[in-house]
Amino acid sequence: MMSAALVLVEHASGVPRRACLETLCKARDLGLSPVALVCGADPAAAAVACAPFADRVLAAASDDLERYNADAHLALAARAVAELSPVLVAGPSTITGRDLVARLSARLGGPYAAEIIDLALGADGRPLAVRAVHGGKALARIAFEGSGPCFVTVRSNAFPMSEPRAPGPIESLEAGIDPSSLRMRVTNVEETGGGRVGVTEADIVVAGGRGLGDPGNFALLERLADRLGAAVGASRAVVDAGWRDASDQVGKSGNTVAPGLYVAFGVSGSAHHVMGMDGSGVVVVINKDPNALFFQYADHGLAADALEILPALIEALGE
Amino acid sequence: MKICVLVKQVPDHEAVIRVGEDGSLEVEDRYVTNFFDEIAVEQAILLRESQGGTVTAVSAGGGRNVDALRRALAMGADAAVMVDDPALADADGLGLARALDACLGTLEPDLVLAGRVGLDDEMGLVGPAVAELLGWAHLAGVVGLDLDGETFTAIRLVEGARETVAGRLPALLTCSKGLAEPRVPKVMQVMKASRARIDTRDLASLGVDPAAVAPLIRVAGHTPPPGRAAVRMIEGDLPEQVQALASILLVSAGGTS
Repeated sequence: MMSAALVLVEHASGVPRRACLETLCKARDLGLSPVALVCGADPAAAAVACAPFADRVLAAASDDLERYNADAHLALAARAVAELSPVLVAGPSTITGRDLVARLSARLGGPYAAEIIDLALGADGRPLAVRAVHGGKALARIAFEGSGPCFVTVRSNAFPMSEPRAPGPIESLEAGIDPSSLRMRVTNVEETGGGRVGVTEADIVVAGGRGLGDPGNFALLERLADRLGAAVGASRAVVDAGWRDASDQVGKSGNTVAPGLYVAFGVSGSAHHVMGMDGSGVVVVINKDPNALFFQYADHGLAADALEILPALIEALGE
Repeated sequence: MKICVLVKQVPDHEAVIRVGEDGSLEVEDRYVTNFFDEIAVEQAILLRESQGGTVTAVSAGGGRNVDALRRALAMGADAAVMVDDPALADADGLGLARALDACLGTLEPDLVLAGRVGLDDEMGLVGPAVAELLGWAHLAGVVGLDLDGETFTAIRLVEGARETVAGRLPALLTCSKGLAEPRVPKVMQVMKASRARIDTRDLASLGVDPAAVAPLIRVAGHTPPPGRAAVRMIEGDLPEQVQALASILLVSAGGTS
C-alpha cells in the first residue's frame, strides 16, 4: 500500500490555501497517497475543492472548528495521524498552519521543517526538503531522522498544480470535541485586506513603498491590483509609518512571498525587503532613482516616478 | 505575575552570509538579539510596569545567546537564566524546547512570551513546542495583549483577519511586530547588564536526558539561492515606457496561473 501524505488543510470562506492544494499535488507526484483533512464549521466546500487532488478527504464539522483553535485542530490532526500513519504531515506556512504543525510535531516527537520550498523522497522513502534560511541568503537541504511521520509547513507557490482527477471520496470524521478542552476562544474577527487575496497567497503582488509619497496614493496601487487580480504589498518603511497594515508587509520581519510576478513601485529595495520576495518569479521594479538598489534584484526595471507611471499604466491596461 | 521570556541571538540582517564550497554556511560575526524576541521582552516589561511581578529572560544553547540575555537585562528584565550543555550543541528546535521546558518547570511562570520566529533558521518551532511540552495553551502572531487576573485577551494577526482571542493563564504567546516597540537601553543599563550574573544550568541539573535533545532533523548542506539574470531596463518616453511595462505585466501575469 502506498504511504500516505496527510495535508492539514486551512481554508478561508471555503477556499483552501493554495499551499495545501499544491502539497496534495506534490505528494501524488512523489508517489504518495494524498489525504486531506479539512476542519471547519462547514467544511463541505473546501473538502470538495480538495477532492480532485486527493485520494481521500476527511472532513470534520463543528462550530468549535470555525476559526483556528489549537486545542480542537490539534486533537483532530493527531487522530488522523494515528489512523493513517503517514510518512508526511504537511500544512500551509501560515501563522496558524505553522502553529498547528509545529505543535503536532512536538506532541508526537517527530522531526519538523518550516516553510519548505521543495520536497523529494530519498532512496529509503524518507522525505528530503529544501527551505530558505537567513532571509533567503541560502537554501538548506533537510533530512529527517527516525522512522515516524515527518512534519512540514509549505510555502505558497512552491509546487505546481496538477490537472484535477476524478475526486477522491469525502468521508466525514466525527469531530468529537469536548468543549471543556478548549482553553481559548476566538471572540471577534475583523477581516483585513479589503477582500483581496493576501500577499502570501497571491499569484501576483504589487507592492508600494515611500516612493508613492502619500498613503492616499495606495488607492492607485489597489486599482492596479484589482485589474491584475493581485495582492497589495508594502515595504517596512510604509508599514512603520502607519500607511499600511502590518499584514501587508513584505520583508524579513513581515511576510515572505514567492508569487509568479512581483511588481514594486517606489520601493528602494533594502536587504530587509529583498529577503521577503527574492523567491518570486518575474520581478519588475519601478523607481525614480536610477541607482536604486532594487534594480539589482529585478528582471525588468523602469527608472521613473511611480506616481506618473501608475495612472497611465492603469489606463493602458483598461478596466 | 511571573513572566518568562525566551530569547536568542541571531545574525544581523545585514550580516554577510555565504555558502562555502563544502555546503557549510559562513556567517559574518555580526549578531543581534532576535527582532521578535525584543518585542516579547518589551511586552513583558510593560506588563510588569503596569501589573507588578518579575521578568526572567531564558535562553538555551549558550554561546552568543548570553548576549541576548544581557540585552534583555539591559532593557529591564529582573533575572536571566541560560540552559547550557555540550549536548545542546547540535540540538534542533525540539531539543531546545525540551531543555527550555525543563528549565521553565523550575521557574514556574504564569506567562511565557517568545518571538514568533527566529530570524536565523526561521523555523518558529521552539515557542509552540515549549507550549506543547508544558501542556499550555499557545497563541501565535500576537499583536495586542490585555491581562485581567487569570484571563487574557489577545489579538492575533492571521492571513486575512485580525482575531480577538480570550483565554486563561498559564499560556505561552509568540509575539509579532506591532505588539510593542522595544526600548533602547541606556548605556549605564548596558554596562550594568554586562556584569550581571547569569544563572546557568546544565541538562543534568534539570533532569533532562541528553538523548532527549538529539536532533531529529539534519541539515545535509546548503546551496546559494538561484541567481537572477541582469536587469533589463525599460527605455523610451513616458507613453513608450507605460506601453512596455503594460505588456510585460500582461505577459507575466498570464504565465502565473
